[in-house]
Amino acid sequence: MRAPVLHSICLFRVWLLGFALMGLLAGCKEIKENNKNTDPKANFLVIYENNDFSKSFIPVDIQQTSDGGYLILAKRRITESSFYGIYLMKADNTGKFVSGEEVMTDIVNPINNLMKVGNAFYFFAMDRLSLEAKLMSANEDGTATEVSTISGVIYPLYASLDENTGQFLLQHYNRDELKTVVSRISTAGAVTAQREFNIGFGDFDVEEPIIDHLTGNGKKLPFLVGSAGSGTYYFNGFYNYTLSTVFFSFNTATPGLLQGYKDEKCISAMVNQGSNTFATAKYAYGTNTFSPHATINTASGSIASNSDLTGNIILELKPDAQVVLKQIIGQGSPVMAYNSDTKNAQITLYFYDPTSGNFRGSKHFGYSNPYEAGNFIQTSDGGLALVGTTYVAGRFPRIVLIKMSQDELNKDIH
Amino acid sequence: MNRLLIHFSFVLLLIVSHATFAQNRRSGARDSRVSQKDFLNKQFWIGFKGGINYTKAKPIDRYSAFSSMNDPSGNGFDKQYKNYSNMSAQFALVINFHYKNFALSFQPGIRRMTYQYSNTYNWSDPSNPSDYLQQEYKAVNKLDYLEFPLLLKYEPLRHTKLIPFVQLGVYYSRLNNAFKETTLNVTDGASGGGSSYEAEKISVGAKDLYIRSNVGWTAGAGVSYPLGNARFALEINYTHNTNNITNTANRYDNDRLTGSGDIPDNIKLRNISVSFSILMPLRFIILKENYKTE
Repeated sequence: MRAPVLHSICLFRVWLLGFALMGLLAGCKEIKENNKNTDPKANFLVIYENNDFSKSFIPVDIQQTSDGGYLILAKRRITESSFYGIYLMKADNTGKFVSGEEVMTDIVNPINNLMKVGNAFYFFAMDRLSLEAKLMSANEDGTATEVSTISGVIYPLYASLDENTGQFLLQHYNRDELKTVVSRISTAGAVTAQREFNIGFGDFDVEEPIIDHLTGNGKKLPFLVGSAGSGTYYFNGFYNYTLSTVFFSFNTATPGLLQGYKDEKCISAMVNQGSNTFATAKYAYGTNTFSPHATINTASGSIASNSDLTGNIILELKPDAQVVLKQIIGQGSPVMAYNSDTKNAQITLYFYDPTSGNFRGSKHFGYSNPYEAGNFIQTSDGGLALVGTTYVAGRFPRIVLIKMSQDELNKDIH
Repeated sequence: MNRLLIHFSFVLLLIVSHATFAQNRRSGARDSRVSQKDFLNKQFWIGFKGGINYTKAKPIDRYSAFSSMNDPSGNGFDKQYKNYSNMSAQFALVINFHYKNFALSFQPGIRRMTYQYSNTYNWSDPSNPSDYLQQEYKAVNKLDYLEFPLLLKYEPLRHTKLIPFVQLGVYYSRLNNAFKETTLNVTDGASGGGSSYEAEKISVGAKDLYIRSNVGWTAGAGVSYPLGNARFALEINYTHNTNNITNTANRYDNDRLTGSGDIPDNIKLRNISVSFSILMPLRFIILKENYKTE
């Protein structure tokens, strides 16, 4: 009678010992994994704080430097002008502040983007008095130097790098002749090609909204300029009485047009996916729509309306939201990443398949203090670095840098 | 250090297992008239203990959501930990195997560990001294663990009325739950206020901010008092956690905390506990009936 009982007790004790040992080994493995995850470069969130009550900083763009650190181009409030001054900041590869330069207030209005050509970084700004565009270089140590003044080019609005020529495309506004102008500019600051587009006359006033856009005192307008390949370029700007998307070449051919309506129904972001396919974002009377794979007729003389672009209505975004759209690599394949602002003051990322247009995930940042999207890049380790503005204590605009590791990014893309 | 603890735990588990079997064999041999003295020398005791504890969080690597643009040292953003300031409680089942002056003690139980830190941020306008703002964040962190300590106990004097003892051992704890309460106090001179007020209180589940495992060693001392078949004991223990308990992969994952700039440091815990226990001989409880019937 006692033997089977004793046998059961022995078995129970062996099982208990085995269970305890398994628990210990699992705990040991978890601790080891946790210690491996301490790479401070992979994942972080840093708010660049300044205890001066009167300072405010709003990031424009970010680039990664050769040492793995980050260069952040930002706007700052100055007392000498209603235009924003320039702030250039260097952070190390863990996001820690290294240095920052408040560029002299004679140069104002830094515009998108901070562009990388080889190992050098460039951006455009504006002379505070003459309003002429200035090409600036940003050094890896976080200092800025003037390359040249672009004579006769005033009110710079948006710039991007033309990958085909290694030169810059600059959209600017000619207030005297009421024209939108796109110039191709070399890294030395020489204008190598230029084309003008009539905005229109009469009581259609674009100067006020443009100045409100530049000073931050009004609606932020979705100016864009880029290349669609094969000598075709596009800009999103004022043309023929509306804020429209115009496809053109630097010759005399009639441009193709994707018509908007005033500044109330506009393309807000676009990336060419080859030939006449684009990923786009648009807003119409407050409602934002993402079209991750759209076909647009870019041919000379074509006329279409952006109302015809169908897509996904994103109700959580702010009315007429600013959107930054880029193609990145996630889960080993191309993904369209939309970066914007939500109504409840968060920065958001939406991911879509560039071919099928299928939704692949989303990510939100921020909760207690308000957050606003700035710009983002894919980093050399396959992660993402996003800059935005957060209002510390609900009132001080400060730069926030968010680094997502590749693992974290892949986790958010399904 | 953690590997050493694992090895030590393994050895202690083997000893416990062996001791358990040995006890069983002895109960089988009890019919061969083991002396009453031997009976008292070798036996299991079982009981409960409970008490209060205080925790200190020791930062190993410091993290902050803030990096100063105008103070290169950046030390102003370090969390100020308030050590051993929040009382919590623990409760455990106690199983002791005594052999002469020594005992092996397994004490599975639950323990809440609470630690606290604060951060103060100041803004001022150099050109207008009345424009200032001060925000003080106070974060209270509560961690509930299931713990499995294994202790070696030594009683130098067994025949006195009060029996003193010392004990040393290792433990493995498993996080069951975690909470965080952050209180924000504001002094807003710029808005015309001069006194502090509570502006916000955030309570969040914080289990994902910590890993499940907590290992370390524990040492303590106390006195026991025999009363009838029972033993009453009062003891004080120091618990020394040897691994980082912050989940490094989830450090920035809680949007609600990260948004307000609250990023957890890598920490190890220290804990001082005072417990009261009641123990009874296991043979007295379970096998008394067998004695009578045989």
